[in-house]
This record gives sequence, C-alpha cells and structure tokens, in this order.
Amino acid sequence: MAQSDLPPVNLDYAFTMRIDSGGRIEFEGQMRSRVFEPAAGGEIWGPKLQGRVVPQSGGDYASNDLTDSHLMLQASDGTWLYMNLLGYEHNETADGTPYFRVAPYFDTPRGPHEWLAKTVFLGTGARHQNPAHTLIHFYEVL
Amino acid sequence: MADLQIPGIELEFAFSVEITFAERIDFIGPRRGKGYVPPASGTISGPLLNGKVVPYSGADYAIFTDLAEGIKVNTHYMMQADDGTWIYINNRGFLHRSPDPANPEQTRLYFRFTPFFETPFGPHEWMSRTLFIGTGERLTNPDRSQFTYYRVK
Repeated sequence: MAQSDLPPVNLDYAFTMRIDSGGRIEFEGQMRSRVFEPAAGGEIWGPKLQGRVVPQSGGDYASNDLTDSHLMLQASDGTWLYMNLLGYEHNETADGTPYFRVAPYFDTPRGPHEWLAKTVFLGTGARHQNPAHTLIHFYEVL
Repeated sequence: MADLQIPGIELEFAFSVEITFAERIDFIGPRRGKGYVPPASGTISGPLLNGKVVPYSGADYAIFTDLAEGIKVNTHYMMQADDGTWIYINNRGFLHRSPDPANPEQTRLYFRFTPFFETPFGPHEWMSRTLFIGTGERLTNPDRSQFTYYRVK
C-alpha cells in the first residue's frame, strides 16, 4: 500500500493530566521488576475534560517498562471516572530524560462524559520534580 | 496552570493488516454481550513488518451492551513475521458505526485501536516497547477487515 493511499488519522488535543507522586515501592518479582507508584492526587485541564485525580485512589502498577495505572478521576461536574492507563515508559533515551507513550481506557456513567469510554486516546508525557509528578497530554484519535 | 506548551505527536506508518473471517458468534448473557470472531487468514505488509496472521490462533473476544451502539474490541492472536518470528498481538479499542458519506443509507463500520505486542528478543523486540495506534474498516464480500497501524514516535 503506497503511503498516499493510507487512511488519514487525525489527533485532537483533549486535555492534560498532572499526577502527583505519592512515593515509590520497587522490588524484583518472580518474573519481572515491579514498581508501585501511588497517586497522591492531581489535576486535569484542557478543552475536553477538567477535573481532578482522586487522592489515594490508585496508582501505577508498572512491570518492567510497562505502565499500568489504575486511577479514579472526578470531572468538574462531579462525575466519577475510572481510568486504566497502559503504555510504556522509555528510560533509555539519548538525552537521559525518560518519557511516556500511553493509551488510557476509561469507564464512565451514562451521560455527558460517556464518550470517554468509547474513544481511543494517545498520551505523551514526562516526569518532573519538586514536587515529583508526571504530566501527560492526551490527544483524541479522531 | 497557564501557557503550557502542548507538544505535537509524530506518527509513522508501520504496516497494514488484512484479515478474513469465516464465522462470527455473539450472544448476550447475565454479564454483557460477548463476541467471538476468529481470523481465518490474514496478511501483514508495510515498511516495519511483513508476515501473516496465524489462522485460528485466537479471536476478537469483544464486549458490547448493544451491537447497534458499537463494540469494545479485545483481540488476542498470533502473527508470524516473514523471518519466522512469532508475535502475539492484543488489540484493544472500539468498533464504531457511522453513516457512509458516499451512501447515507448504509452504515460504515470503522475501528480505532491501540495494539500491544509481545515479541521475542531479536529484530522485532522493539514492538514490545512501542506504542501504536490503529485505524481500520470492516468490509464485506468477502467478510474481512483492513487495519492500518502507526508507530507513535
């Protein structure tokens, strides 16, 4: 298939999420390295979603470089949202700065936010310090 | 937080997959609607991977509440690259229905995915560490789907 015959894929910036780190527990498991990083809280802003990361509602249960976060979110209208964030943390980068490439899957009640549960998003992000947090920008795959 | 620079994302065309289907099973039970659609055959072609889908090596084990609303796709099957490497794919995403712009009486069925791969150490191991997005369409005569995968850089 020639490049020009490809179906177009369009991305639309949806929102940004700050996830505050609540610490880090690491150990070598039976089959993989495990990292648990609880979320102390966080904030969500942008054109398509505003709200917060519910403090102590979960965190990242990563194994090797595979991110697997489970978090509860609350939209600014009060709606509860569940997010499972899957993807990769790339640690071996040319400039030594790790970065994330992730895909979130949501569950939501019926109502104004249910489109989140039927939409593929891409997330890109990085870790920041003082205090420790991760910032992820999410794009809707149209 | 104001004036945050939102970086762009670069997508690179990775490969296309065409899969044919011989049967489809779906039912609704106490928990939800369940689909089972195994691949009868499939080919993979593109700059980053060439090979085949292993027939009947798994299926789309989709879930849905109402087929008319679209379904949540969750496929597990095996692929094999031209060099013989085995590749496991878990394709997660959605099948949506929308009116066909060329023929408004018809509905068009299209997919959006994020596939996750597991590959052995070797030339294809980068696929185990790379995020992809996929788009696709369900087609008829014969019953098949065409997928296009992009590497997220």
